[in-house]
Amino acid sequence: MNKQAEVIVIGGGVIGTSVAYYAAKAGKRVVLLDRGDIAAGTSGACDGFIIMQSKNPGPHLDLAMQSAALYRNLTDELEYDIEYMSCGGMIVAESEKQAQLLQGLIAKQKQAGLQVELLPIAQARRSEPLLAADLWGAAYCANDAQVNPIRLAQGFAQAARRLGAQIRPGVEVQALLVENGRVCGVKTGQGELRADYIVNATGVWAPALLSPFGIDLPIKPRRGQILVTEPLPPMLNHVLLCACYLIAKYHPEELDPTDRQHRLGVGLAVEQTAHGSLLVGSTREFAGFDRKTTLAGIEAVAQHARRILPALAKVNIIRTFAGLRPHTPDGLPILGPVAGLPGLIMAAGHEGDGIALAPITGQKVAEYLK
Amino acid sequence: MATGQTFDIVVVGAGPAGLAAAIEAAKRGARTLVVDENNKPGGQLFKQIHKFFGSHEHRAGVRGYDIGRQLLDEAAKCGVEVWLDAVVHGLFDSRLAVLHAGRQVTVQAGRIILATGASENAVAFPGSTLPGVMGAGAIQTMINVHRVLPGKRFVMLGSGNVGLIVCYQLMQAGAEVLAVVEAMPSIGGYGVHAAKIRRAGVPILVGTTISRVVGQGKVEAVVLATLGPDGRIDPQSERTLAADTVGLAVGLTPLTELAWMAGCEFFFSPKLGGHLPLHDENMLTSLPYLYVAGDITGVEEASTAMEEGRLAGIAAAESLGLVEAAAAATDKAAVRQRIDVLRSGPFGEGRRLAKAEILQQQALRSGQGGESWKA
Amino acid sequence: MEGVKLTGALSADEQASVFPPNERAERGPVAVIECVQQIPCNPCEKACPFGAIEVGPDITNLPRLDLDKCRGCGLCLSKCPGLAIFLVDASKSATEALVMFPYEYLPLPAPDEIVDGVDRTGRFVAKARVVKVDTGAQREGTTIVTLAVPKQTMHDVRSMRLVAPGEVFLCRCCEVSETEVRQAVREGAKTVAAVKMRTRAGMGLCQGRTCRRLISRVIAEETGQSPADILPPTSRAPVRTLSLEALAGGDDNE
Ligand SMILES: Cc1cc2nc3c(=O)[nH]c(=O)nc-3n(C[C@H](O)[C@H](O)[C@H](O)COP(=O)(O)OP(=O)(O)OC[C@H]3O[C@@H](n4cnc5c(N)ncnc54)[C@H](O)[C@@H]3O)c2cc1C
Ligand SMILES: Cc1cc2nc3c(=O)[nH]c(=O)nc-3n(C[C@H](O)[C@H](O)[C@H](O)COP(=O)(O)OP(=O)(O)OC[C@H]3O[C@@H](n4cnc5c(N)ncnc54)[C@H](O)[C@@H]3O)c2cc1C
Ligand code: SF4
Ligand code: SF4
Repeated sequence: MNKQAEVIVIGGGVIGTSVAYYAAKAGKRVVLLDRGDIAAGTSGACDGFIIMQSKNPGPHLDLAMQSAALYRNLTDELEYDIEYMSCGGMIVAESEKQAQLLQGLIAKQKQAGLQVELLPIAQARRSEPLLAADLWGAAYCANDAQVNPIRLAQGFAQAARRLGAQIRPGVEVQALLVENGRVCGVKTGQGELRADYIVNATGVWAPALLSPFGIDLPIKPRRGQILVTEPLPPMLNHVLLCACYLIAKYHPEELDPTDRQHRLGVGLAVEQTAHGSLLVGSTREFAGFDRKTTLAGIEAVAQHARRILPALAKVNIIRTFAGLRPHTPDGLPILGPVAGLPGLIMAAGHEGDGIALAPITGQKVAEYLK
Repeated sequence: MATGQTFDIVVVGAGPAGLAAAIEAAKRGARTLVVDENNKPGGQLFKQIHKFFGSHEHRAGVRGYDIGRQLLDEAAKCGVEVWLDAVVHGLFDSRLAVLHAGRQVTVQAGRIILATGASENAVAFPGSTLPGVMGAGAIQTMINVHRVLPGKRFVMLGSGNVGLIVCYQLMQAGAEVLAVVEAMPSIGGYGVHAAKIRRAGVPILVGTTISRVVGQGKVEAVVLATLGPDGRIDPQSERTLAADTVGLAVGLTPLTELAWMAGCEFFFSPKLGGHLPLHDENMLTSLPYLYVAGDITGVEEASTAMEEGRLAGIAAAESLGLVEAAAAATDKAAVRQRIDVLRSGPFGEGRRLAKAEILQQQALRSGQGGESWKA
Repeated sequence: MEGVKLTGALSADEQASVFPPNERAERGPVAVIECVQQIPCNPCEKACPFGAIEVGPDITNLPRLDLDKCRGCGLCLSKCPGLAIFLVDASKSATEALVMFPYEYLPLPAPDEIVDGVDRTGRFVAKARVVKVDTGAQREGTTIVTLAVPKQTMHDVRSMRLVAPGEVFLCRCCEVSETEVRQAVREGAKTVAAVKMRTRAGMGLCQGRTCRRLISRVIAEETGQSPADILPPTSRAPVRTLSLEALAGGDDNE
């Protein structure tokens, strides 16, 4: 059977579409398949933080900073409004203890070349007046930004299409085809397709394609629940996280399982979208592949948001949704070839950083497709 | 510390279906709660100032809002607890998230009966988003409940009973109705309702539609056009009416968000208004704790809604072991017989067949699927 | 009740008095000066570089057109303050004629767009194709539209109406038009949820209660799917809006 393409990308989230774009830009003939539609998975059910100061110095922060650099002219490059806003970000500390935790991280980040400063609450409130007056303060980083993940995936997909890629929503990959020990194509509901390289960018669903080969990819869905408010006039100047988010992320052992907020891993994440709605998140829970929101979950998120941003008390919630972060044990994505399965390239497992890391992931993965 | 409360049966919606369900359940000893988002009970009934059709048993000849009041009295006598100004905003298995008078409360239910009614359909044409284009139901609430006329000169799109009745009530409230416009080749509602407004000189234009609405920031004129045999607008036939308000009475869709959230099985019935929860002859859905009754199971009438409510109320109480199977069977048989009468005749026939199809489909799926459907 | 004095539109007799003979129109473009009342006015006379229009010293005279001198250049059309001059041309095809008229409304049609050709009373006459939209500087803000119309209607069509006089909005909360929804479906969005992702339709205050059926219908039309298979997007709490504060007050702990 003939090859239909040089590269098949499985998954139309921010990661898959980014890989398709950078591969097409490098001159490859690309086919992108998604069983649903562009951004039908986690990338259509998440926040859009491009946040630097939440990353641990090391490979994580390096990747994020390279990605941030790519973001700066991505709107022009894709000729598509991805609603990128270079707004700066804050990580709120409720207490002295949390501030110390931030201080430690900031010291290391500064060494790595990221400018972050810790502001006492009075100073933080000058640029973000919605913050509660009785908080300790906030860490501020001017390099943080935001984007609309759905439009990002669509922008990558359209730009890839202009470069000759085929974008095929509604095609499910049922299995990888292997010949002479090499992954050479995919079996789909609509027939077989062949290519030199197959990229697995299916996020939390990535392990399923590898388990038939006895490979157990350590990616687990970690649910996040988000509240959406009515459209509001501009009222938030930054993307906001709180230190609980970092504790839930890096120090889960400090959490008290009898406390609802801790048990659900609630950490604040608030942004205002280009359309005025606030996205108020979120939880971090292991609940299998269930994308439902729970009453306890949305209540706990609301409670925490009211604590940090009391001015939002009267704001109306119009919807809730949940997305599944592709969690990995070390918090780092799984990128590149897979031992024992030549021809297959992984690009999944970005946990809570897939939006921030999408451009650099696409660029790096495209380099493996030689 | 917990604000949560527990009831044997929680009914969502205090319309005719919900109230009737609650009455039957409470009569059989169930601790019953009815929740409705409005501050008056009765659902659609509380804005119906006209005398109802139906059989004498269903309080025909009584005005809609009086039926609502009578049902409420009866519910109070049976010990039903009624929460008004209470929205069920989420369903999480058998727990309901209720916003009651501004406070968030969790209610745990043994059985839930969804009687949420139906919502009005929209239509889109150029100008359909101008202020002054509104649902007939919204117009009815404004004139009959809030006593304000939303305009002076109306055009109504849709000649079903709702469109006809709302036109009549508009004229009673002192408005002018320039025309009723109906895309179908004949009038959808009862002839007697149509005759009432024809006597007042209102033209009912069948085979006609609104081709567009024009105006600067609000409705100033409505352009009508005749539909050709291909269903397309004949541009030669366009004519303009100087109306300032357009009512849309183009059907209702069962209000099913909570049922979708619960995750029960659905069935599509064009005749009954679209997707609706699949249910058996006891009004039980594919989830063992979830019942449905009234317009949510297919858009019909207050009389059938009440009977379906009774059925659901009896069956839910029975499933909790509060009544003997034999006694329940007798009661349910009597209700089903009355429902059959209501669904007879040329206007009822289509609904009877559509409802029968739901039961057939349910039997088919439960035969294949198995374990669900056993209360 | 007939005639420009009573109805604002020329009567059949008035029309007959200004129409050029058909043979003339068959030879090529020619002006039709539908100016039948003796008003004090004469810019048309000056406008014609070929001296084809004569009003004379008494400016209340009716303009007279010399059919042989008129070359159909159309310059007089945008000079006539009464917008009373038109151009017809039956020479281009056996079945179609061109009609040129001044058009001072926005939005303007686009070349090749199909519009409704309407008569002197604004009534629909025939579907017409836009051939040219001339907004050139010499037109001084009076755009001249050229339509191709069925030949037998050449003396009836005197203006046009855009077929879609405005956008049809399916989602009023987020102002998403029917065109955008169709476009999204053609690009591969086959479900209400996918249309929502691409267009934001249904993301507003009503959460799709108003627009979802309208969107389902467009999907059904575009894809040929049965409406039974087009499901609403995932239903999530809250089905009615509630304040953050109220939600925060709950203490569910499942
Ligand atoms: C609540 C929440 C908030 C978040 N906030 C942020 C944030 O602020 N900043 C940030 O950087 N990151 C954030 N993230 C993380 C980010 O959303 C994810 O890391 C990212 O979206 C993952 O993208 P992906 O392309 O890998 O996966 P997905 O978007 O899930 O894409 C995978 C695609 O693969 C398709 N697919 C799966 N299996 C198959 C198959 N067999 N055949 C064909 N197609 C298949 C699916 O349909 C899906 O579209 C958040 C996540 C959550 C849940
Ligand atoms: C103009 C008009 C004229 C009519 N005339 C007649 C007639 O002459 N004879 C006749 O038999 N029938 C008539 N009907 C039909 C009749 O009113 C309906 O069929 C009947 O009311 C349906 O009853 P129901 O209980 O299913 O729903 P409804 O009466 O609609 O009641 C549902 C209730 O549930 C509430 N609700 C919905 N969701 C929630 C939620 N999440 N939380 C809390 N509360 C919720 C709603 O606000 C509403 O109060 C007429 C209807 C209209 C519109
Ligand atoms: S069309 Fe040209 S030539 Fe004919 S009358 Fe007008 S200006 Fe003169
Ligand atoms: S300019 Fe127009 S209105 Fe004036 S005389 Fe000439 S044709 Fe008549």
